[in-house]
Amino acid sequence: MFKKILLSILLLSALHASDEKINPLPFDYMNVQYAGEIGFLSIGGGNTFFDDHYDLELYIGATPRFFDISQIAIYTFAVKNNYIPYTFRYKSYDLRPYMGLGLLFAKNQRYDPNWQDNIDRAYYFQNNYHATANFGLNMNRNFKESSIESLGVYVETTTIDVYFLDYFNNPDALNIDDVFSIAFGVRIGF
Amino acid sequence: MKRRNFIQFGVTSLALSGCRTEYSPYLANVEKQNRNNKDIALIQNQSSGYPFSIALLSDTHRFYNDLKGVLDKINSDKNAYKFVIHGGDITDAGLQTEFDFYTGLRDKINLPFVHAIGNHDAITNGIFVFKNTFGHYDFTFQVEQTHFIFFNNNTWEFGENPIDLDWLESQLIAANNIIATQGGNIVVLGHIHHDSDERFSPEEIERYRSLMKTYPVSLSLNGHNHDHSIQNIDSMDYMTIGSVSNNNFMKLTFNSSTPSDYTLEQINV
Repeated sequence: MFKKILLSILLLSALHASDEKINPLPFDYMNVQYAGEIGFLSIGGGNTFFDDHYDLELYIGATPRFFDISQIAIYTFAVKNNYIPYTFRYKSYDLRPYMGLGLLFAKNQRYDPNWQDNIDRAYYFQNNYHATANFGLNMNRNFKESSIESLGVYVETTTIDVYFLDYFNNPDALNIDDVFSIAFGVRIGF
Repeated sequence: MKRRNFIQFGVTSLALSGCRTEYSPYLANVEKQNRNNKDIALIQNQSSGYPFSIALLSDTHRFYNDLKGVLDKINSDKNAYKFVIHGGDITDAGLQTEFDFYTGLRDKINLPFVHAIGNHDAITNGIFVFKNTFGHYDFTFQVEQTHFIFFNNNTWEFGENPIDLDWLESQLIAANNIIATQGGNIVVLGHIHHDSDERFSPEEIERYRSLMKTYPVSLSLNGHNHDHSIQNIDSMDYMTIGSVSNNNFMKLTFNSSTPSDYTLEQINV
């Protein structure tokens, strides 16, 4: 099921890129991201609002089973809200610093131990969704006469709720770089 | 926020990541380290006879500041301890990053550690991370003439494998066979308190107590309940190793291999 959805989105992206009149996706742009807590590789679509100050993005990510010692592939669904206070423009380039909050959900009951029949509901704080926070920089090159409007890259740091709380509650024992990780991505604007 | 400040903030946050990547908080990809066996070998290679002392700590969870304080205290007097026992619940959610946070702090202390698996370590992917990092859930080792039996009694989290009292009894018999000729005593550690009626049946609780009385067991140890306590039931001591969040730990000293010849001292940070 997940593979079919992923394949469909990739095919639709290819269609869109080949002819600007065909725009079956409800997104202004699409991202392909490496790492960042939402999968080894994730693909997302996003829309920009409020005069380029706010991006809303939806992702599906996958971490193949061979990365995991329990041999389970991890499928993640995530939403990101990014606030972009300024866009710096130089010729055909945009530089967009951003910060945001999000939510990730991993599709596996193992990550929410409270589902087990012999464990009391809500005994464990752990579950299969987490809040995320991220800071990043996005650089795009804009095209005037092309089937794609822009092509860019971004780099961002991400943490999840429990890691950040760990740092917040234990500043003597943990460093802030213990709780943030880095992610890279490509952004294609339509 | 001014533009320059925002750029500084963004660049600083990128630097904060230390270029470490993480695919998912649920991913478990730790290499096999077998820390328990390696540290047990270190303990056994340093034979110094009786008396010897052990630092007992447990339920470190996400109390990293408190853990650091306890470890610093142990390290400040490390010659007083032969090794350290962790009674389980190294983590709160069984996430590999939590294990990494713990081992990062533990590795600053130059003493051998032996770890039991706690119920919190057995959720999410914790059972796999624990096994690769520390080794088996059930194991035994001998220090001088004192036999240690660590057994996994996290019944909820290992639903397919409930408490294995047959295995425990077989290890007690094996230790007792050695003690019959060489003398010695036994310490048993399972993370959950033996009389947890949520997890164990009355028959299991009764059988456990019977095993403790039948063989030369000095102490039955557990974690889980966070507060230090000792119960004496039918002349047998059952001790809960409290959480490091109490800013203290226990010093257990065996003066000889006679089962009752030990002392306990609470060490405050």
